[in-house]
Amino acid sequence: MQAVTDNVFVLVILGMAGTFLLIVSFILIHIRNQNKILTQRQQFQRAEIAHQKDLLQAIIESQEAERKRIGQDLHDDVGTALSSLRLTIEMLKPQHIQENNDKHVKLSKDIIDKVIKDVRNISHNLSPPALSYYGLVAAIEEHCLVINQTGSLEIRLYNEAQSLLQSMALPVSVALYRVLEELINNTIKHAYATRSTIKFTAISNDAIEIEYTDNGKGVSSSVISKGMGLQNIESRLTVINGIYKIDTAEGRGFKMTITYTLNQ
Amino acid sequence: MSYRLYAEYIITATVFLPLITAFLNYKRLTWPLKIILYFLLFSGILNLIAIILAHHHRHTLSLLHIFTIFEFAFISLFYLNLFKKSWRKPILILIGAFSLLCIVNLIFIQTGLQFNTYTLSLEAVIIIGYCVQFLNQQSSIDTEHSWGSNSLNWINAGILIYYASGLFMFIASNYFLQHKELAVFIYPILDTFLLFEYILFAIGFYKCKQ
Repeated sequence: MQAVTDNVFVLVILGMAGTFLLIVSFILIHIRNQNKILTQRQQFQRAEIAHQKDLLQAIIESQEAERKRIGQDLHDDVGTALSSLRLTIEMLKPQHIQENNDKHVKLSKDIIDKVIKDVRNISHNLSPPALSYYGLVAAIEEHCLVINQTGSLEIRLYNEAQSLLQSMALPVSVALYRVLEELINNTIKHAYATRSTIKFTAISNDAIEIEYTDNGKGVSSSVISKGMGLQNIESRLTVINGIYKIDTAEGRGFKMTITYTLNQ
Repeated sequence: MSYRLYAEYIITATVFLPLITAFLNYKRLTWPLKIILYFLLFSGILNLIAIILAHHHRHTLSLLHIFTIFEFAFISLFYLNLFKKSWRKPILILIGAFSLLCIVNLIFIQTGLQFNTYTLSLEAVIIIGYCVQFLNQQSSIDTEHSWGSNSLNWINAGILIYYASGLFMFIASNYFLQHKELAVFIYPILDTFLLFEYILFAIGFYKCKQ
């Protein structure tokens, strides 16, 4: 029988080199697989977020369309019908009237005037015509004018981004209008403020910054809850890819800065 | 001479690489990473003692027998903190049984004049088992981060590369003790695997910062 002449030294080196290669390959394959799974999961999450965003956009768009339709119906049908009724009452006014009859006609006309005014306000609130005809600033100006007339709050508007605002798409204008409307409502309802400011600034060739401030009681940052108001603001801004920052503290008023980049 | 320079000084000094990284990020280190840091400190000190003893022409192999007990305990405790709770008791029993086996081996089987190839090889096999179990556990977790961003993955890779690649060397250590002319060529390879381990440990400690 032939004696074993294998060199243990060579065998051990080969064994070590082989094991080293095997282990390194094993780890590299494991890393590749784990990173591949992670990439797939991230892609899936991104697709899911995009899908949710599309759904949200569809909901908001259909909501806006419905508001516009109801507003137009109120204005065109109910408003016109009431105006016709008012004219009819005017025409039917008897020639020889008694004082009582006169009073009755006047009262009816006053009530119809009030209803016409209310219908117009409701239809404007549902879908402000100024927004689609004259743009965001005009619509906000109109809204501020109404608030200022009530005397409960003084809103000042500064526009330093006219050209950018003019090139803004209607869905974006609608979203920003709703956000500002919500902020004004919050100020009136909760802040006990006397003055608020809206400032539009062009921060670059294609980016706009909207700063909303009030001098109300403010709120501690830790207390800001995502109630319906803030949720609405967030969902509106998410759909248009807008970024917002809140700066508030108890007794120091409220400030929200919105940044929106056009042509995204 | 160049072998002694590489093995005794350069490789021993590279332990400072993970140690410095660990101390710089000490506040962020999790408990398992701290165990690895203490293990590195312990092995660094023991290496230093072995170098001093070797310079005084004293046998250092009995130190290796003792080092194996602590090395196994440190690494087992590291994995004990990473695995599920059901692994706790078996690992503690394993630490106790292995320590006892090392002492019996030192006294009755492979004395302080030989390498503890039996216990050293067994230790390497068990540690490879820990590493594979850790990889298995990581594969079944829905992580939100990449492989490289988890410091524990780097530590585990370092341990796996060193113990798996060195297994053949651990098995044949006593053979090379009788053929010292061959050992001069083969030990730098094991030292290089140790260098890999230290570099991966350093990356692991650095990743903990992020």
